[in-house]
Amino acid sequence: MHISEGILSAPVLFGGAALSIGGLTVALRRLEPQHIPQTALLCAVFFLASFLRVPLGPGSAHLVLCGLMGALLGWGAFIGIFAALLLQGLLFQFGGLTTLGVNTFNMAAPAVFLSALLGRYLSSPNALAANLAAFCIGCIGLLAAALLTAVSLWISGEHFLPVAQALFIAHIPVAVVEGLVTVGCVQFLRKVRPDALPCANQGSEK
Amino acid sequence: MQFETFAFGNSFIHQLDPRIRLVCAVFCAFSIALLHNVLSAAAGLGLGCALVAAAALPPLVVLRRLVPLNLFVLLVWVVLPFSVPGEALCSIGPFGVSLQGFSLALLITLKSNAIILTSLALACTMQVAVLVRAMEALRLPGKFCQVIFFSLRYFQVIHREYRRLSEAMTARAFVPRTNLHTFKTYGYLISMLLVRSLNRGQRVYEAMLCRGYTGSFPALRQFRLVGRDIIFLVFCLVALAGLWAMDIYFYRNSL
Repeated sequence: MHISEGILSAPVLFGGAALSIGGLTVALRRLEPQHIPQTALLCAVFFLASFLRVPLGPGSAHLVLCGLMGALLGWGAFIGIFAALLLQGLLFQFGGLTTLGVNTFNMAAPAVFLSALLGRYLSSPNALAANLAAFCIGCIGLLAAALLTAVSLWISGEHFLPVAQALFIAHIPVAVVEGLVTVGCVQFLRKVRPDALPCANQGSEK
Repeated sequence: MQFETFAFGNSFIHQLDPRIRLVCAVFCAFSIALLHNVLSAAAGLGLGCALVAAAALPPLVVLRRLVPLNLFVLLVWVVLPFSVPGEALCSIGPFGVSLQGFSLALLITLKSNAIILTSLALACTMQVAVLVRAMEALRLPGKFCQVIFFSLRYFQVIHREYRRLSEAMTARAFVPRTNLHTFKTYGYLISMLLVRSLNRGQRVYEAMLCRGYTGSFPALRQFRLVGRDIIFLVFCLVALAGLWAMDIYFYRNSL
């Protein structure tokens, strides 16, 4: 999902970096000091969760959880995702360091957008609405991220089109799984810690 | 989990100022990423290997770190030589390989590996905490550096928590399969970790306030530039300028 080094062209790398810097600036401005430990802890949980492998047919997929990150952190998802990708790049050489900007934007932008759109339904008294919203945030969040990744590849060169298409199609079943896992997460949070879910006024608060 | 395997060492690179290393890592990575020509990319790979050798990194471990990247590169090799239009190079079965496709795949392979090698030698030869300090010293946003400090500190804690929960699940005969029960269980597992983290985060913040936390961690060690650091920075810039010159020269002569 995260694009590695050396593949994307200059405009994509720098454009993605610029967009991410914009998102990060907004997120950092909205981040209040008392929420720093929590943002960091959520970032660590997501960093760890990305190593979880969920069985999918004959193989397995690893969870990305960018949708859930958007739901819980709002704009803070930019910070959490950027930090998680930076650590993955430095410690395990997953993804890349030049592509941090592009990868962060591809994953965080849909997350923030969907959470602004659907976040209020997560704490709705209607369980079905909450589950549907959770599924959409998880599934569409990942699909949109995969789409943006595919588009980044395609813009870098027409010849990347087959790779881009293959990447997007490969993520469709993973997106469904991710939607279902997000539903599980939201159901649990509604029962145990409902104030973690965003309420009607959005923000990067918990 | 094994972290920071390359961070402890005594080589020339390890003794350089972390800020210089970070700046050079970023310059090298972006410069190599923008090369267009196979020969200059090969020179970039040479630079990467030289830096890894200067940092005295164990070769087998480095090769293992290159595996995730090269799996993706393999995918590129399977697609590009056949999909890029151009003059025919050879054919494998019914599929024709084009020269442009082949050289593009080669370019990507060289560039990606070169960037990872330079990043390993420069950015990964220090503890992440030191790297973040270098970021702070280079004036990156304080709040962001704080987030990374806390993430690092608590990652081990959360990993332990995850192992406990995972063992509890196994003890209750949980076998992951492709069904709704499995997905819901993973959702519950992640949320349980989240809830524990949120509670802990709150306690951590309040405890730190009690101990006089004002939003930044005072540093015991101050960075100081020495002659060696400046020389290395100049060397890096000259090497990268050389790569660029090669690239432009070959592009002009359309090699």
